[in-house]
Amino acid sequence: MREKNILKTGIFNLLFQLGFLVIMFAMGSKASLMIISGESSRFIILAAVILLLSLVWALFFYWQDRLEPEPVSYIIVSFIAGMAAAALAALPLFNTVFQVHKWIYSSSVLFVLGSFFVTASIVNLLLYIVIRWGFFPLKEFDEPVDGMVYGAIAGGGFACVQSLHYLSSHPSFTLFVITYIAATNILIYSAVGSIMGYIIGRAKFQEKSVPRSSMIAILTGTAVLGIYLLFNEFIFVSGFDHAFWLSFILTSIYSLLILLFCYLKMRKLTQKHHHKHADVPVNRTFNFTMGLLILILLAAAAVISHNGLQGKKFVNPTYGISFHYPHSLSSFSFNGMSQSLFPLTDEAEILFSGETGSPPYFSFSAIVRLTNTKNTTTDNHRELLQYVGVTERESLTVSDVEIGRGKGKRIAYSYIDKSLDAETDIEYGFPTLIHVYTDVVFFDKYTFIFTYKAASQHFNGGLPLYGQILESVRWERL
Amino acid sequence: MNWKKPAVMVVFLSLSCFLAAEDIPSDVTPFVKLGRLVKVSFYKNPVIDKRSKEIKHNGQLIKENLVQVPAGSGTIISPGGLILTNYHVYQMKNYFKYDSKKNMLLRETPAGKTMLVYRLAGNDPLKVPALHYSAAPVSLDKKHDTAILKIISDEKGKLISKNDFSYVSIGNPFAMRINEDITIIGYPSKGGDTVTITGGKFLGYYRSKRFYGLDGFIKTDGAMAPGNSGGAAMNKGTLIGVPTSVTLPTAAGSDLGYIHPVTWAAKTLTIANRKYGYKTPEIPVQWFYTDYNTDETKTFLYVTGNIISSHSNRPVSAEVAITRPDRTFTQIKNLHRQIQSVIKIYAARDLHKRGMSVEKIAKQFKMPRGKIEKFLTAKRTGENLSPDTTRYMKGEFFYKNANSDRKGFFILSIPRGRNVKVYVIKKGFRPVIRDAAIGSGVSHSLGAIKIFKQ
Repeated sequence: MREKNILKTGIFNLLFQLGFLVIMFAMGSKASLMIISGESSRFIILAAVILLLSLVWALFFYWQDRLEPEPVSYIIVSFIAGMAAAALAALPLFNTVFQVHKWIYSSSVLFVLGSFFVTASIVNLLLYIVIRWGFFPLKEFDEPVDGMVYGAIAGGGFACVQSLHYLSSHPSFTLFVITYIAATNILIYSAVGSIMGYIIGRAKFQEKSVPRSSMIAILTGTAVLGIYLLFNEFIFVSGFDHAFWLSFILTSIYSLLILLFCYLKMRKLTQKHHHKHADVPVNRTFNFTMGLLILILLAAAAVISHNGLQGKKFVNPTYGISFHYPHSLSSFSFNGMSQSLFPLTDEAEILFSGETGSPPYFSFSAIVRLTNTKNTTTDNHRELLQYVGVTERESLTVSDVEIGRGKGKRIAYSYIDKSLDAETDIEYGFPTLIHVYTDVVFFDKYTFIFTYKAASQHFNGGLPLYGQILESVRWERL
Repeated sequence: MNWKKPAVMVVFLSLSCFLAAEDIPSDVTPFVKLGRLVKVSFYKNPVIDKRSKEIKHNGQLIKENLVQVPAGSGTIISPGGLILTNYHVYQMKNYFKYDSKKNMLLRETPAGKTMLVYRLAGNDPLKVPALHYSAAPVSLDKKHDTAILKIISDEKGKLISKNDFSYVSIGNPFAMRINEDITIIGYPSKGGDTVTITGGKFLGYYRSKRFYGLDGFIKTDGAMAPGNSGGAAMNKGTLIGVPTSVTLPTAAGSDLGYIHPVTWAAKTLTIANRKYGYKTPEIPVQWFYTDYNTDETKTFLYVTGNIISSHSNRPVSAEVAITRPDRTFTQIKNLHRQIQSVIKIYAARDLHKRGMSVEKIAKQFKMPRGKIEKFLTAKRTGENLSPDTTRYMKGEFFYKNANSDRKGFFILSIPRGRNVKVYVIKKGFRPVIRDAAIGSGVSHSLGAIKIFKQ
């Protein structure tokens, strides 16, 4: 009876998700939520779309558990627990502590490491904590299917918050993309939650060691989610026109295979142990090995994200200077190249130059030149400006600055960028105001000039990043 | 004997009228006069740098008014109201005049982006054209000095969408025999406010190795003057070119007029068609294949496309590179770096050859004298160059790159009938690499290229 049930309700569930996606494609492959005025109403609609998908998914699991249905309140609590895990732990960890979005796309190595050891492992640790310490000890957790149900619904709650957070910061996304993101997130996180729930729950009925099962659960969940993230990335990198559909279909198949695997395993387990209700004494005390594993995973995440955040290291032994710059500054640009090829003056050499193509947009360069002792001591601003090649005379201030242990001057000025592509882009010919910081640090032999440039609306946004670069500057020989 | 002289005059004039009449179309309304609305401002006591003659400060504004100023001529080339003219007719630089005695400054600035279109009322070439429409710029091509405008509103500023403008069809500028008749229609300021229609001969194509700009335009002895720019050069009732320039009267000998072949509008027409979806006259690709066509269009076509974000379904400004398929992206990047430095060296040598002093070149390049001297004296630049760079410099196709504009649109010239790789790079998005087979027409559309957010 149950097998029929999973197929029936599973197909219903999938058809609903697919049908909803098709409707949204027909309705909103062009329209975005921007047409609705008011941020709060936008948010409500977004939440409604996401919750509708989660609700159907939760119903699917609830129907699986017909034999001895879990109390509805527990189901709701598990959903909320999943949401809380995402809102209170996962999002702050991803966005504030590890700042994943800043570095994960900067190289393929970082992407692989970050997907497995930061994103996937943290999601799984949190889901594990919810299942293991929230629902595993419950009396109602009395058949193997319960692990799957609680795990999947907690995963659904997690996905719900994750989608809401991501989508509310991208109001330009079309309704179709919103539905796609919400649907795939629910599919994959529920699948991951259910496989974890199954493996943890198994311990209760097979009399296996709980810590060992827990470890297997976390590692399996991490592998399953990590592999998914990698493959999904691969689909998008291929630039395939219908990548969203392909991704949705493959995600559905992948998560269904996981669910089916759990389901078959669980049925076997139920047949074996159907006579016996689990009365395994539940050990609520803290387990040392588990704690160690959590610590190791967190430490790995910290190390990887630190590496990612620190950026790449620039070292020049000739001039004894080194600093770290964000990965986003280093990628190739056809148009950015030409300016940085030639030194400004004969004695000057461009050490490094790069620009970001995403917000906050800015360009950064480091130039070195021989120190002219006449100019270092002078307080005459005009000579200083001539010395570093700043031609702008208006809207200019000069202040003191300290970089590394070197003392110098900060020249701040603005100019209007008149360059625009007249041939194809004639409608939007507004000139942009560019703000510039030119920091000059004098040493006995060499003078270093750091320049930070950004359009006025992006200038303040890029300042922290520029500050980070300057903070990482080290001089070997002063 | 006194009657003889006027008789000869009459014969001569009527003969010339007859010659031109063959090519004068019955409908003269497509030959329009272009003007613009200009803001004229008078300032008192401006601050002017005595050395560089730069205006530091305009001074006190005394008077300001809007004036209609003639700019040149144009020709309607499609029933939808597209006007072909010169880039330099559309592009107006800020003009100023300084009266040092009165210490007064006069500044002229264009009041808007649209141009005023004056049309001959009642199809009568003897009448003064009247302001009928205003036209917005659609595409500009500085290199070929061509531009396409579109009529968007009537003289009162009310938007119109007419699709039955009388227009001139375009003809093959490379199929004329020497000394064939060319009729030039336009509004030179010398000719007053009415249309001026002159006749001339096709004298061949201008070719010169010493000329560093484009060459290959049409020579004629037909009378032209400033104001004819952007107008029509007709042969056998079709538009074969755009009168663009004349020799300076200071040059010894008779004056010659230069006409840009209508095929030089291929790029602007492609933009009008692919970017805005306007119906444009088609240029048969066979016209380009002739040896008389010295432009890149002989072997290259215009590849266009739109970059669209899949997440928001909106156009995105991204970097697009089209490369030959047998090179990796890293190889292309290295080639690009080397080419960029070679360009500077060649530019320095070129300027020096043409008589620019080392100081001036150094100033223009923002480089020290010593470095420029090294550029100029180095034996050959080819020694340290990779084989690909050398081949690139000989004209082989390796890559072309462009930025898509805010409408996501890009245009690049690529050899016809090639297999290529298309790269789209945009930070915050996943890179797109795509194979494409380029067709053999006048243009090739890659359509919408979707990119995905990271």
